[in-house]
Amino acid sequence: MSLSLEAQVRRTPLTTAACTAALMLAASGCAGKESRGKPEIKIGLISPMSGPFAVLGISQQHSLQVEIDRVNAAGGVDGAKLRLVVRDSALDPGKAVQATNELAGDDRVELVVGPSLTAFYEAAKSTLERSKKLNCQPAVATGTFNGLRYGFRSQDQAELDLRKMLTLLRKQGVKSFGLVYEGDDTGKNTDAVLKKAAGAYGMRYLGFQATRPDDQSHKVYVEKLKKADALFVSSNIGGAKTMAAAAEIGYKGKLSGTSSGMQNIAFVEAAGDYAKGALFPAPNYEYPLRTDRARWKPGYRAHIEAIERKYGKNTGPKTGATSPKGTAIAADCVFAFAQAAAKAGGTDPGKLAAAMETLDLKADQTPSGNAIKPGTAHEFYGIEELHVYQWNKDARGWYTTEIPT
Amino acid sequence: MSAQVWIDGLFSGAVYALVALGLAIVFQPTRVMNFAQGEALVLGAAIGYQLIALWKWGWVAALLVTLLLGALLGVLTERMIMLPVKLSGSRFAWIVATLAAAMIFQSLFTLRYHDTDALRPRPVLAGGFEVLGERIGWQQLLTVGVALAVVAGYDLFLGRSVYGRAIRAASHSSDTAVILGIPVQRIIVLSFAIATVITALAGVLAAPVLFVGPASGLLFTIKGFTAAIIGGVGSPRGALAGGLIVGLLDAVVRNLVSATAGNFVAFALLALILVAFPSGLFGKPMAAH
Repeated sequence: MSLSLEAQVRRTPLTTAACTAALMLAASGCAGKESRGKPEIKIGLISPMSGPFAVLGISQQHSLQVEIDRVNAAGGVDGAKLRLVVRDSALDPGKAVQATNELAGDDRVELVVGPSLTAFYEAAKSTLERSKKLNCQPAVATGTFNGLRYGFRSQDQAELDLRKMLTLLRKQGVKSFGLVYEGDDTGKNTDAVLKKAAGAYGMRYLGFQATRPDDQSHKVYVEKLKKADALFVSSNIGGAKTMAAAAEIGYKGKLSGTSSGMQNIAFVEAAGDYAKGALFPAPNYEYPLRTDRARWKPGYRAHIEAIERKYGKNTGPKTGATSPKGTAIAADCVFAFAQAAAKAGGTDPGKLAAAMETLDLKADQTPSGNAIKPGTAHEFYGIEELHVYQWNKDARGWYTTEIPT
Repeated sequence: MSAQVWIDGLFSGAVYALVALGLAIVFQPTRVMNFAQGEALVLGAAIGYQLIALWKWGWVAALLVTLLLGALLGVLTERMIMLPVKLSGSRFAWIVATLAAAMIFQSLFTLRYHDTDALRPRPVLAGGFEVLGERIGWQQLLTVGVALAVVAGYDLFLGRSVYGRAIRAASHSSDTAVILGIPVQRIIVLSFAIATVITALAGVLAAPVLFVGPASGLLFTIKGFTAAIIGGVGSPRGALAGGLIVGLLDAVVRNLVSATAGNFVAFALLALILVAFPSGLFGKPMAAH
């Protein structure tokens, strides 16, 4: 005699009971999952993950991941775990806008970090505002965030960087300065800020020499500004060319970066020994200082050591200069998001943005070691968070010293 | 205007001349303008950086490796460009093939040297000397001297050697050259190898002075291309003249007016020369076709 499985099930009371129990168990399991944990929250990152600027995107990814891991280990945000989703802008504005549209349209994305770089962000920010998507910018130095509802900046502002440097240079007796920079939007913005600020600091601005990527040498530009007591130079490869030119023609004045970009070891690699003595403004960056780690700000130290454990450090192949494989100001985005969500009692975009504005986080708590107080300007860091560092080199290698301002 | 402007212009002009010469050498037997030529310059800079700056080898080793790897890259480039050109049959296939080769090499250099913006070894000859208060670097002088010697040497090779005559025959008519028993395919491979070695040599010599980035090959190709067209494609002397004109003009105008104006004037001159001398200043009329 043979019976089909269906017939056997139908005929066996024990099997029927077991199936019913299994169905109930499955149903109760699903219900339990729904009630015990909320769906995970996505944090989006849009940055160059390939091509010449890949090091920026990869560093941001590392810092975001380390901070997300820390937040998740502490219970997540409003009961939900965080998950990082990464989109490669590949230095292509089209890809950056496409990725912004995708993440802005995803209801589970509660925070977008990026798109990195000013021009890319300018192309994407209206989409993020329209979609009421909270976003945080750790790699946009120029422009203003005033007037935005959902956009916040976790980078040092270019204008504040320049004011910080001018304060120091005036203190050091500098009477005149000039600018040698790429002839792009950043160069033009820097020129405009310096032109406006010179009078206020009682100094003379001797002008802007716009450079090109295919310049063979910057000697011509430095020659024209040779009489300046100080020269502001780019933090990119152009800055390295300017420093080389200054050394070759025997320029005696001070050389200063315009932003924290000069802290990157890629700059030291390109400039080599010409970088010795170069000054640059930056938010807290204790890593290359020769101070005991016990004196680092606790949040910064914890973040950097987590980066070192998980990803290691960058070492310049030529100079041996080192840097962590992360960028702590990107981690500040997640840290501030988690704090704002706790304050707002959830992730409603309007409430989150309002809570973010009112944050007042102490420097020893944050991953970057900078106090975060966005206010209505939506700027994480004020001028008081900026420092001036100087690149130096001795038998033990490259390091920075902090110059009191 | 400072004499430094003229010195810089002369130096960069010498580098552009060597790129232009590389373009001309490939163009002669193939009628292909190789947009990947600037990648050979990056190869030279990368060899200098890797061997001298990182591995602390000497300049002799760097020059030998440049010759070897330059020739290998030349053979590889020939396959990457000429094979698709032959298989495609499209008259525009060379544009896609050469740009694709440029993109592939650029990506490889960027991947390998992602941690540096400039492939900058120490110079062969450090320091310099002063003439009328203007400082001239020994490395700059050496590069200009090598450029002059290479152009003169290739000119002699083309006019006096058996292979040189074979290249000229193949560039005149490859079909006739085949009938005459000239191994045209071998000539084409040889041309790619010579062109790549010369441009790589320019890279290894110029890298201590210039800031050659891993992704800067196309910038040099464009300058070399402009120089080659101005001088006359196919002529070594034209490549030298074109390179020096582009380098000096760019430096002088950049100094007197602005950085953007330097490029504008160089390209405007290119347009004028193409109208007045379609074959360039030193080119023969058939090269214009």
